[in-house]
Amino acid sequence: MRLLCHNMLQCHIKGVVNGYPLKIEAEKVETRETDYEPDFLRHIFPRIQWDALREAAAAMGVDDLPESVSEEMLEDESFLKQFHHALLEVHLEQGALVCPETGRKFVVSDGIPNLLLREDEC
Amino acid sequence: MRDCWAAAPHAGCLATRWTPKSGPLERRGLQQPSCTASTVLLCSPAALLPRVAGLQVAPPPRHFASHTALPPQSWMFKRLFGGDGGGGASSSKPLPSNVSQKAQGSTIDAIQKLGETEELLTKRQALLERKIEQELERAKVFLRQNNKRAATMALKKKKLYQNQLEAVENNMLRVSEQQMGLENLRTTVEAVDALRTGAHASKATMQEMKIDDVDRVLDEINDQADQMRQIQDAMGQPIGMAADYDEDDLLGELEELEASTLDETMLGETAAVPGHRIPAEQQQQQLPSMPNAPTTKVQPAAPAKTAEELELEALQAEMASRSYCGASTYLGSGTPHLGAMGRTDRPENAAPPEIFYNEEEARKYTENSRMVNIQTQLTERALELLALPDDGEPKLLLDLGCGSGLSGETLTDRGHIWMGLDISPAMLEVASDREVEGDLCLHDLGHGLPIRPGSIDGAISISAVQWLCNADTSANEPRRRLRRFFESLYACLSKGARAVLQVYPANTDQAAMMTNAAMRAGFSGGLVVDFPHSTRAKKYFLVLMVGGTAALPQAKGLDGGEPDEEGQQEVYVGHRKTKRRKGGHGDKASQRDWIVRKKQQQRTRGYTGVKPDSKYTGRKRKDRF
Repeated sequence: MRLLCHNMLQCHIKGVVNGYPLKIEAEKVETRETDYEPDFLRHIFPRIQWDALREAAAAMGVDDLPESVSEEMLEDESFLKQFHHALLEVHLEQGALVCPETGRKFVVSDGIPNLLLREDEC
Repeated sequence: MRDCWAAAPHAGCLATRWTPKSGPLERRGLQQPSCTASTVLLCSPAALLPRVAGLQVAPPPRHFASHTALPPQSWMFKRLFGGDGGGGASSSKPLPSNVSQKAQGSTIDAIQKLGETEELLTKRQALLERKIEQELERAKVFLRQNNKRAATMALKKKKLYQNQLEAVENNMLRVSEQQMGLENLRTTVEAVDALRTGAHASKATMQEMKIDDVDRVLDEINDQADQMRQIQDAMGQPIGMAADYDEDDLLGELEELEASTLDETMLGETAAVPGHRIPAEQQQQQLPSMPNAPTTKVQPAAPAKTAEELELEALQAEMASRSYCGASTYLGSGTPHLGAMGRTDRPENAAPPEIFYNEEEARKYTENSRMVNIQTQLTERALELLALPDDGEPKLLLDLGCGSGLSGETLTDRGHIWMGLDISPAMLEVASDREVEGDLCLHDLGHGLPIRPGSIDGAISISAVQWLCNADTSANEPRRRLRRFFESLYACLSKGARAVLQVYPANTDQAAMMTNAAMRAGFSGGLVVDFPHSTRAKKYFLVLMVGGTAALPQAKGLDGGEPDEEGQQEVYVGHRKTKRRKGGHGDKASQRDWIVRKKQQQRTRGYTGVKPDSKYTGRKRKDRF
């Protein structure tokens, strides 16, 4: 599971108001190279919640994202490369995603988070 | 024979004796005599024929000709009536039956000839045997008379006869053989002829029946059935006051009512138990008449019985609430045996998707090239209907019910980034084995999408959403699930985005259920049916738009055409990923690692025939590989 996916995920348990962002408990992280596409990065940038991304990246061991960002930084090649790496190249293989409100853990195994809810949660 | 010629009034000149040839005459038909002699046959051969045919009762024995000398005038007759059937070619076109008739005739004659020869030979054999006996007797007589010379002579004669007998017997054998062979041949020929006629007849009948006609008729019938059902539905709509009530409200009330009755039953021990204790009490009352021992035995049994009965009651109550099912039913507990899970008609009727798509099914599904083709085509059509802006920018898409990633791969080929959700762990495992580029999540669509609002550029779903229409517990379930699904889908799409869901509805009810749920969630759009006139190629796409007033896209095949096998023109967005599946992951060491890892995986999975790792594993080969 990549940080791009994580940035879009929110907890969907019934009644939860503040289910975003999910906290990451990382046990195994892998890095896989992927093609660099600045077009997509620019397209998706406005939709990314930067703080959530930064926190999640730190949990996965990627510390070099800047604290605050602005549109101009998108012109900067090195920033884009960092962004690309954090967003699309770091994979969470084993671990868990924790709902901030209820504390419910969604286990991630083999890169696939298990988001199935029990009967009482939906 | 002469009298017949005398009877023929016109053939007066032909007064000489002649030997009728066997057979060919009756097959002559209307052949003109090819005679150039001065004698003129005044009557037509047709008039002659019946008389000639009358002579054909018993074909003469074979050696008849050798006993009688042909009179000189018979050459005329030979020329008149042709040779041995060589000139008997009929002018008419040989139909299949005629050919066999000719052959048949000759074989019949041959068989008859052989039969007679056999008879003859048998007679000769008998004669020779008699003669042998005679000579033997004579020899004995001479011996008694001490006439050695005469005896020797008799013996010599006997030997002669014996040799002849042998020869005759050999001939007989040959004749029998040939006779048998001919008979076999004849029967075979007749059988083949019959088959030929049969094939001819069936070909003629098949001309009338064409598969296209049958297809058309079936389509018509289906259409008519659909129309009838629609009419019935229309008639069945509640009118007037009844239509004003909100269905959802009513269903909600019904749910509550069910829940409350269930509570009553569960809590109603006081109500249930006395009812069951009564028979036990009665039993006890009856028992005092019996000796003590059985009484004590029965007493502990009675309360146990009532507890059991209570459980049974509760179970029955639960079952009663469960049995009010919607579109389908299945054995909810445990995994049905593969035999039962086999496709009766639809997989949706066999088991819920997370159980139906177990490891084996997932593998079969993904390895089936026809399935792969269909999924690719559907995905491409869905992308077409998605109408993403053509600016070459990759988009973030959702693949709902992504399964083993067949549709996701098409999305990757078009250059998009996607996230896939599916409920079957086995299918997702296959997807991750195939190393699809999208992020996968194990998730139930009926719980609503776990995506934050306004984050997705578009959503597709291939052959998945109809699984939501299945009932697990009560009829409310599918409606509730569909509602949650569509509401969350509506929320998570960004402005102007679309969702295209390719579905296989079991019937018009299901299609209506899904469309209504989508509309109620706030979507605009509708159901696009490609190739609506063909039962096989018909595909349903639920095209949903967030806001916007765009018209529904045009369906394909509305004029009754069939989908062609050629691919349509493809539009690529973004950089086309041409990465190879294996070995494109980096440097040599990591390639070999990947290969070794995969082989170990296969060994643990139980695949036989995985070669052991050696120094040749993953070694660099020449370019031509």
